[in-house]
Amino acid sequence: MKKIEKEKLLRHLEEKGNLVRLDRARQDPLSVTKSSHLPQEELLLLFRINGDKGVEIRVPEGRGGKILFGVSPCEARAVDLLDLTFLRDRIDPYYKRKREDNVLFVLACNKPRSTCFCTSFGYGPFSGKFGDVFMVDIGDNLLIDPVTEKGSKALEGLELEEATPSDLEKMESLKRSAEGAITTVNIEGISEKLKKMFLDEIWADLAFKCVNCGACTYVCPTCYCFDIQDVERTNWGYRERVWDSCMFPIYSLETSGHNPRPTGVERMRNRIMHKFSYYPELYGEYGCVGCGRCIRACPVNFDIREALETLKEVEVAA
Amino acid sequence: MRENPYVPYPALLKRSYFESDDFSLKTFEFELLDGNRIDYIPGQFCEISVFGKGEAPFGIASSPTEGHILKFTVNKAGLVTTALHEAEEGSILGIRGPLGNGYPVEKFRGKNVLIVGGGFAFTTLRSLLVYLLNSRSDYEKITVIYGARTPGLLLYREELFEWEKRDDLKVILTVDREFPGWEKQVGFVPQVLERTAPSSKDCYAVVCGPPIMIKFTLPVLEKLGFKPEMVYTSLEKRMKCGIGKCGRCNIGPKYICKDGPVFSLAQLAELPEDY
Amino acid sequence: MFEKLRETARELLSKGEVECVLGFAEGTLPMIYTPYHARKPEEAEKLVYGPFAAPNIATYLRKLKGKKAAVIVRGCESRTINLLISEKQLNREDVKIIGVPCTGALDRKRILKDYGGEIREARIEGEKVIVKGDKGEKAYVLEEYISPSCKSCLYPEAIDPDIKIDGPSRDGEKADFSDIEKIEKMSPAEKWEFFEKELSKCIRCYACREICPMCYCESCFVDSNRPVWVEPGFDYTDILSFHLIKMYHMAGRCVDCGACERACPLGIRLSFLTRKLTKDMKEAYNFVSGLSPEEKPALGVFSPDDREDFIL
Repeated sequence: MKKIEKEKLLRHLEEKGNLVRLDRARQDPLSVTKSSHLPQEELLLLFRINGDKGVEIRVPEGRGGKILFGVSPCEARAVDLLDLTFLRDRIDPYYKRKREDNVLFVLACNKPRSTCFCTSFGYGPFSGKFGDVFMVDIGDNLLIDPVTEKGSKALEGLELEEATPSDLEKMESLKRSAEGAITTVNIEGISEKLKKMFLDEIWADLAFKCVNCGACTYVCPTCYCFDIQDVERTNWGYRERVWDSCMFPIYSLETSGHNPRPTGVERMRNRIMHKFSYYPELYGEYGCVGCGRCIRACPVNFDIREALETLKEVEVAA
Repeated sequence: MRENPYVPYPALLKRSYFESDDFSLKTFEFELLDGNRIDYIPGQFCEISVFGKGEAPFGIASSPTEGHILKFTVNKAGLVTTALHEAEEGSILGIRGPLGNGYPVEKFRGKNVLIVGGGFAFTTLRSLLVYLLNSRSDYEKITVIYGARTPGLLLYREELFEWEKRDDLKVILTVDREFPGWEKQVGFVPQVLERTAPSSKDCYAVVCGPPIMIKFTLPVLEKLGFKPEMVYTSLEKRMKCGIGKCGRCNIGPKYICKDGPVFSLAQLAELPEDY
Repeated sequence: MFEKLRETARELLSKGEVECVLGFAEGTLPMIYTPYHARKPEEAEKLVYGPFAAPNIATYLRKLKGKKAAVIVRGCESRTINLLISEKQLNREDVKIIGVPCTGALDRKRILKDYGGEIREARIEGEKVIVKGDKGEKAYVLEEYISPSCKSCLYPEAIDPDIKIDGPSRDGEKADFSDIEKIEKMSPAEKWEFFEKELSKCIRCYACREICPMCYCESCFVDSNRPVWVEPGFDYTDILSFHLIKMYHMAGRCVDCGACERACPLGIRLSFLTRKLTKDMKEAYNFVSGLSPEEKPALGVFSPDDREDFIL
């Protein structure tokens, strides 16, 4: 690893473009990383209706990328998980453009929160494989290591020093203490088990305290469901996508009045299944990074860690 | 489909007319503008845009063998469909597609095909039937059983009556109860299917209709010896993006818009009951 | 501390008088109790009450429709039950009301902010909240950290409970609306700026709506697409419309429990609006919502001598 003075790096990045500092305050409750790739409200197209001459459709231009400085490893990993949906099969051009333009400077997490459980997912607060550049704050300096080519490019022109053995030792000690502060939930085998639990009665118990607001899904860095709506003005209008939540009844309500997920029980089941069964089945990865945002934002203390423990305890017929 | 899958093609509404005698169903014929075209197979769907109101998904009722006109039959129900019903001929709307997988028409080659439809779900079945008839000799026996509540609610009546006359095709039409002047079958689709008892030998069945019809039709097909992998149906759920991104139309890990809407019963047996 | 309540609940459950006892249990995070319904006598051991209970428990009665339930309530929650009965959402015979003392619900977010670090433990000790975390142990005076709604609470104790658990409660006579009066004195421009600053944080997660026991409509105006009352997206006009129309629907129906404010993940001070409603209803109609199940909603009745001087 290399090292650099934080101020020097920041000056360099400021010159490069739109720098967004995430390192100064805890990013809560919303995930800036999610919003930077999948904004809560995003224009898809504008249209103008020219009498009988037809319709003119215009796709908005991109606004250029951002340098996100101080992204936590969990949030950077979350973007990788979003890629699985947005960059596979039919590529989502709006997402792709931001993904290509944004540069993620990941900062190892020295002080995990009590709600963190990232280590349950095979990585940790010091995992250096996400985002474009990995950094560790060792106090006087940043240890720094490009992860992608985009990351290397962002560092071009900077003089980096070699990290000394004592720097690395400092990092190791920070890492140990951070990892030690995190509670790991053992989720081994949960996705296979959930497949057999669709009709289990436990969902009603789990869903009892949930009031079906969208707080957990909106703060979640991996929840990506959206709605598409038109806004009409005289002779023109626009189509936009806005975040939606599987917790809302109208999310799945059909025009006929039929709702395949009529109560909070089915909706809770879908949310958990999506993250812990469907995502693993489709992509081999859990759709959760263990950042704990949903736990902190929940108005009724629905704790996903506790839910996973409960689900683990349920006995299912083989 | 375009590189940006969210951008619809501008489409001219060439013709629209009531399809049912209760004015609830209208058929729309579109022509894409600017030389665009959509290559589709029966069973696929499109998102139709009424600009300013939004988009809604509809199965394509025309067959790719019929030329460049795209045809949809739409029930007036919500915001978009109401606006669509009010759209005048000559208006410019938007069409995005084709979306979804469509019927496995390649598999049907050299086989018998049984088409079972109910109510206004006959749209993509019309597409399929026209497609099969276009190269009639590629398929063996074709049987169609189609029912609606009243004679006036049968879609594509004139065509149906013409198809009835053909001797290379068996068309059985039924309505739920007796009607003055109706001399064809009377009874619900599952009952008529049971009475007709088409052979399941080397035969694919395609079933589309309201959930209650599907529910009672499937056991009859099973009784007739149709294996789950030989029976196909098309599903519907609330949809938005049509390309498996927005999330809402999933059944377990599958998205109806992307992995469906056509599924075999064998495929559905693997999925949770989430629809 | 909760022995009396637990004993009562245990007895109700073991005698089969109710199918469940609805209240709160310890949560997984400090300073938060979580909604809980005890269904077996031994589960009564989990029941707790006190400042860490943030939601209005009456919201959960919808989930227990058709069940005979006992419900543990504070003053605001008992008034909500009265409102639900008067609006025909609940039968009085279906609920057994257990009243518990109330010293106000904690404004948890403010302690989290003032502590400035990660809190890992918390407990109530007399009139203080003691918290422990990476910034060491700190004590906060409960009265200074209760929800603004609780500060202007007129009825901290449950009204006409079937069973009453005794204990020290707040004094309803001390209700303080001084900060609302301050806003009332602002100029229109200042008011606009003040509310814009607060409400523009909204992310439309609808936690305030879903947690509200009186927001029980099957379909909400904000979700309607025919007509579109509120457009999608984050234009401030739409956010403001949502909150203000919601408030109009709440006038005379809001007990100002403060649950919406405590539920907001962005910490929007919704009590500026709910307390203004409470204050206005009292001043204009001498009306306090939910004092009796027989009472008609204030805006659902007309009296010739109703005030009308505020009508333009």
